[in-house]
Amino acid sequence: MKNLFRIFILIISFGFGSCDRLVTNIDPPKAEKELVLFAFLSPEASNITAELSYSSPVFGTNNLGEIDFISNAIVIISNTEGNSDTLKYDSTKKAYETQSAFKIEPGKTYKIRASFDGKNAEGTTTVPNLAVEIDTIDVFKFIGSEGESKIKIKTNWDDPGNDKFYYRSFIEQVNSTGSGEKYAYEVCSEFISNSGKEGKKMNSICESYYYDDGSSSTRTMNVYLLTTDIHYYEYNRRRVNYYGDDPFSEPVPQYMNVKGGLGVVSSYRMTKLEIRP
Amino acid sequence: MKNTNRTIFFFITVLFWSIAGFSQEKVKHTISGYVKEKGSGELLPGASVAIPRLKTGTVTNNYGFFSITIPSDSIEILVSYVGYSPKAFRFNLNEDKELNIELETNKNLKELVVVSTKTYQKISDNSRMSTIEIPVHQIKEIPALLGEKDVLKVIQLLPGVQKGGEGNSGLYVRGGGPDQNLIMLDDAIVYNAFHLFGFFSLFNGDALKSIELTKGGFPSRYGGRLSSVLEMQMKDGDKETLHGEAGIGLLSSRLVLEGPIIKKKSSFLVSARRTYFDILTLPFQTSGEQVGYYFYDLNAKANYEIDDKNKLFLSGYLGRDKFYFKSSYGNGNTDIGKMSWGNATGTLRWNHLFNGRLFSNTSLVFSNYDFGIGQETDFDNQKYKLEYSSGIRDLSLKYDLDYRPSPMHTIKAGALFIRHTFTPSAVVYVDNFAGINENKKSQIGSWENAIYAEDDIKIGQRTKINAGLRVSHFVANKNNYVNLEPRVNALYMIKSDLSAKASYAVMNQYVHLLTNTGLGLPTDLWVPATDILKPQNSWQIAGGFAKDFIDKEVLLSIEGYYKESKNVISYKEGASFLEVTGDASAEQSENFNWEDNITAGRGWSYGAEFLLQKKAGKFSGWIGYTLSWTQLQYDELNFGKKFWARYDRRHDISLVGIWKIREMTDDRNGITLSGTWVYGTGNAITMPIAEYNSPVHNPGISSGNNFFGNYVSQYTGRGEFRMAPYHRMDLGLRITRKFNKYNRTVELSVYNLYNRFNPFFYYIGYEDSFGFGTSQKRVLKQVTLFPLIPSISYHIKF
Repeated sequence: MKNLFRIFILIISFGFGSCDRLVTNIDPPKAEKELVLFAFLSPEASNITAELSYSSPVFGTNNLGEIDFISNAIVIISNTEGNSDTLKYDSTKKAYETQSAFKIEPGKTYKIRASFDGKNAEGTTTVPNLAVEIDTIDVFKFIGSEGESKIKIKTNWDDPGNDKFYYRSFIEQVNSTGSGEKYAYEVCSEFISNSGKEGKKMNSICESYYYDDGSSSTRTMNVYLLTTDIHYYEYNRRRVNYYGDDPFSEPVPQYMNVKGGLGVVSSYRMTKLEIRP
Repeated sequence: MKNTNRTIFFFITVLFWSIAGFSQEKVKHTISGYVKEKGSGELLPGASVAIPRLKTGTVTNNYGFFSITIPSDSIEILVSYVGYSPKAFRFNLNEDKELNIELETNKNLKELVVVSTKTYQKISDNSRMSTIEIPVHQIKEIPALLGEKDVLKVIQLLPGVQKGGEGNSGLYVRGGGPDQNLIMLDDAIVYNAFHLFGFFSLFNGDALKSIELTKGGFPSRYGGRLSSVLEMQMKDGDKETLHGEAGIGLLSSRLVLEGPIIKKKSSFLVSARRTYFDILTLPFQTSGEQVGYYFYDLNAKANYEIDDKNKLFLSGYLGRDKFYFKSSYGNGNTDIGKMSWGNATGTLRWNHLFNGRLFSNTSLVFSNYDFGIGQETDFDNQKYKLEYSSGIRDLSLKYDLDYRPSPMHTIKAGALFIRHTFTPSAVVYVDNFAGINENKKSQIGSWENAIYAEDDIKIGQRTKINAGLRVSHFVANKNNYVNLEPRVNALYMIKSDLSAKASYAVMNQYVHLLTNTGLGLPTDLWVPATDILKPQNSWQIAGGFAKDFIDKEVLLSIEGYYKESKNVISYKEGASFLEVTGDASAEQSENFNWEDNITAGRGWSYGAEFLLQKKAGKFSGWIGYTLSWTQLQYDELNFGKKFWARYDRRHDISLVGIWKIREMTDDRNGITLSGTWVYGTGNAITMPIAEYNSPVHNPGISSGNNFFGNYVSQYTGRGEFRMAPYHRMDLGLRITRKFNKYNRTVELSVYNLYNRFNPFFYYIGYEDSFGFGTSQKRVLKQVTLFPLIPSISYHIKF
């Protein structure tokens, strides 16, 4: 009887035991190495920066886990007025930067083109004309249900209407080290479009833990409102929701506007207010 | 809308014309009554009542009632039902006549008795299309995984119905999702029809009398779902003698008991099943660590015949899955986790016969589905407890009238009122250490109502039309929706055994199911239509031919269909059911808004279905083939582009054969051999093809150099990669032996006979299983759930 019982258990375990094996009856999807180009341009940014790397096909013996940066490509930025500049590779930043007085200006259209090893990738962006200003910021500090210190920050602005506007509200908490060096971390980030709210008052509400040790005079929060083009908005919105592959959710394909490769060339305007909660 | 109005106008015109026609006919009388099984008194739905000389007839309704009104004359009436010996009656009809008929099952007849008249029921003269009845006895004869008979798995073998994945009982009918099927047990909606993560369904056939699947051309009495109606009736119970059936298998044991409460007047049926994997594994567990899983089903039904005109039926289902673990650390310190889900339904029905032509049924129905997950820790007298639950509860009242004024008309009308109570989340959170004791519950109430009328009209000798209109209404959170749903089925008899059929139906669905796309997990969350998530809507047209090979008792059906749906829902990219229902944080559960994770889109499905079926005889079974295409489009998914649905299946083939090698007699074993073979095009999935650095841009100081390097996957387009085709063969052998007081059946079955490694899911792994590092070759790997699995089960019937 004991043996019979063991057989039962073995059969049931066998029945529900899954089997892991190599797939031989179909070919895995094929992919080639492609140029990957990223640039986020802004008149408010300190420099023009573009990053160029290679993608790695997942099947085969390609290197994964290490970014295959390309350092000796030709990367050119140009605008529709015929002005252009060749960006130079900075090995420290692992990115291409302009070395001249070439400027990003509101309302203008820019193209970045990268050429390497017979491959060409290019992307185009039109910089938003307006940098929508933050109207007011409401701050509310309170104690959460578990006794923790919390903060709620409401950023308000007026949508200009008469066109599609894409926004990103971004808040960072800035702290200082003993030597006075500043460092910051992200508190909240939200992507909002004016779809259905054209010309109306808009806001973004951020709720977060807030550590208050009594020395708040040295702690500040930077509140940014970015007015972006659609490429910046769609790419970053999807990108922050990417957590890798899991069997319980549909993959998040990344937004791209680069022709001949992968990546995004996009632009934004930025306004900023500093608060001391 | 223009098309809808035209259809409604057409329906009203036809109805008026035909009613005007029959009102001018000469004096007639009505024959009415019930068709029952001899001995048990079990009412037989769908039995054929024919008057051959007049070339007319009818079928019994769900309660075994029939009524036919014909001119006074000397007539012969022939009553038949699949699996039963037919009966014929001759009499002179000069007044209304009540005729209660008892049919004897074929198996009760001596072998030498020759059944002179075939019991075959024609498909070619049935005005409804896209409807398939499954004889319950076939469910028991078809081999099943671990010997667990499963109604939904048999339905997956029918053309037009696809399964989701290996072992999954979910139904994908004509491109629709599993949430779009109305599964009804004695008028009660069953919201989650699965056990053990979808590997088994609630229905093993023990307590069932009839099973009917409607894939399109829905009569107006059905509504509330877009893709199919699966209607199951429970047995009433034997009114004459007490008998039962017991079975033991590798996974579960079961018991069915039925018998009279008051002989010939009242009877009962109880059916129970429970798995015992938890009990079998108990000796292998320590007292400090215990883990277990089990599920059970309990069906019960009782009926009472008050008088010739009134019958009462009370039926119910209770089923639950439970998974638990308990860790004990001594000194009373424990850690307990549990997950549980289940359905409960109850139906009280009153059949009332106003007269020989007018029958009514009133149903009061309760249905509940709930899911709960929780953890409780006791440590040093400090208690931490977090429980999350969700569910849906219905209380409904249904009234149906069945009026049969003449053989040319069968009119059905009725009303339905459902009070839904949705509980998207209920959280209990106790933390003695933090001084927290919270009990939060969100509930949404709604009303789903409908009225309908339909008429099965015979026009001349060649044309039949089933035309109807359903008006559906839904209200939740001050959102009111009213929709007209016209339905038409038409049949034209080309020859006495060949007909052409066509149908058109509009459907609306007011409840949405949030479910993950892959596994049949119990975290399904039903939510109402809102002002943001509109009701799902579809229209479907179908056309085809039905042919009877009467001598061979074989039917052939070929149908083509086209279906368009809108407001069908899906999770947004990256959204996970874990965020929706399985969150372990009380705060996040409280703040969660499910509407934020859902998006609505459109669907297109079209294809052709072929069915060659033999329902009875020494050799029975069917050949089914489906050729289909299903595409979806959501503004927020796949960059707004159309994509193939995960369960888009170009080819789907099923072969089912049941061969009764030898009938059981007093001195000889009965032997039945059965087999199935299925083939399906692989699921359309999205696969990663490359990885690349994809920085998130952050402004300000926190951005550093404005780049946060991170790898992301580059994918194929959504649904652009096809998994390997699925195919499998199962075999079953039943040996039945007769003893003095009982029959014994031993069943041997083999699931996946040729040990096909069908993919459950794919992942990217290393060619060398133990390889690790950046230079190893990465390959596509798959996980297979069920290799060849033999099983044995033992049943007795007394």
